[in-house]
This record gives sequence, C-alpha cells and structure tokens, in this order.
Amino acid sequence: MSTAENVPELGAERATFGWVHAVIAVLFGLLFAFYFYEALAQTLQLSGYLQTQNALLKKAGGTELVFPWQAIAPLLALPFVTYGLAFVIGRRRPVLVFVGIFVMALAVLSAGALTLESIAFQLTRIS
Amino acid sequence: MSGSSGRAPEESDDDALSWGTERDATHVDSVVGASGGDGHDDHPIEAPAPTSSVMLVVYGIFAGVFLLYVVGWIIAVQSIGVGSAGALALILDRLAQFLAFLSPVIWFFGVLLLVPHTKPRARILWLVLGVVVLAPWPFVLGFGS
Repeated sequence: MSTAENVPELGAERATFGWVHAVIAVLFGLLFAFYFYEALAQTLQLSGYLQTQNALLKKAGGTELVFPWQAIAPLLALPFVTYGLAFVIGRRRPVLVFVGIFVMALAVLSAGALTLESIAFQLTRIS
Repeated sequence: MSGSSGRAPEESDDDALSWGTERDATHVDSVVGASGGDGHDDHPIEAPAPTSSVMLVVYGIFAGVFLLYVVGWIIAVQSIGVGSAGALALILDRLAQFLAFLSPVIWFFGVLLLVPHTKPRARILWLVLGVVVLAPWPFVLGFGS
C-alpha cells in the first residue's frame, strides 16, 4: 500500500448512490430551479423594458437597443450546467462531500448569475 | 511506601530511568522500520508527506486573493438591488447574494478539502479556475444597477 492509500482523503472516498443522495439531489434541484426561475423573470422584465425604451427611442430617432442574448443565454443555461456538473462529480462520493459539492456549485451559480445579470443590464443601458 | 527494605525504591527508580533491553518482556520495538523474518516490511506505517513550504506559500497567496474577492463581492452586491416580489423570493434572493460574496471562501476551502493533497497540480488548477470564475466582475468592470 502506498502512502496515498494509507491517508484518508475526503475527496478520494467513494460511495454508492443511495436514497439519501437522491433526496439531497432533489432538494438542491429546487434551489437551482429557483435560480432558473429568477433568470427567466429577469429575461421577461428586460424584454418589457427594452420594448418600452425602443418605442421611445424610435420616436426620438435614436438607435434601438438590442436584446443582450450574449449575457441572457448563459444566465438561463448556468443553473443547468452547474447542477449537472455538481451531480456528475458528486454522485459517487459520500453524502457530506455530495452536499459540499452542491454548495460549491450553488456559490458559483450565485456569483455567475449576479455577474451575467449586471452585464445584461449594462448592455441595455442608454448612454 | 510499605515497610520493605530501603534499597527497593532506589532500584525501581533506576528501572524507570532506563529504556530496558530486548530481553525485557515489556520491550516493544518501533513499528517503523520493523521487518519480518524475510527482510522486508510487512506493514509499514509511513507518515503522510507534509505539504511543502512552496505549496503553503501558494495557498496563502490564493487565500489572500480570495479574501480580496470577498470584499469586492460585498461592494458589488450592495450596489445591486433586490427586485423580487414575495417573502420566499426575497429570502432566496438574499441567500443568493450571501452565497455570492462567500463564494470565493467556499471555493477555496472546498478545493482544499475535496482535492487530495497528493495532487498539488490539480489543486492549483482548480484554485486558478476559481480565481477566474469567481472574480467580482460587476465590481471590477464598474457595473452597478
């Protein structure tokens, strides 16, 4: 046995996917779903805002604003990507590690969503 | 002490101050380096390799960067308003903001706990990924709604 095998490593342990894993995956799934719902709400809100602004800009003869798909598309995809990665990486790990990986993914999603939202609003700001 | 001869305590003191010999029934040889009759170790117990000084310095630098990110996120989150309607949505929004500014710390400790210390390159790669992904971009780029 090598040294690496003698030393217990949290990240190296393996476990089978059981019902506890399934319950945790569903609970975190609900949290990730909320982020998707928020992203969808932001998209609709931005769409309505752009319609109003573009109508005003058209009357004034200004350049119309373009919908910021380059920020909104990743914002809509991010909850699915982060959840999927966390599930794939953590599904054969002990329960605590599984939870830890989901918390990390949720933290990344929070930071990513805030970044993309602010980029989207910045792109639609009338200068 | 009982009423035994005056010599006995002195002898026991000498015994206590000596390591004994291999003939002593209580003598136990160190497991480290002990070998079986065939000349090689049956059950070697190796101490885990300690983290090198260079790696400790590297982790310290990453910790400093992530702490700066936390400050950046706190400033960025304060400039971003909460626009959700309803109590549950508001609570979840607050949770999302809390997680956003804690994200660098969560990532740092998550990587240290989940990536085995025997794979320092993998640890550094994951930490570099965190440095890029979790930067407080709204603050860095000067965005605020």
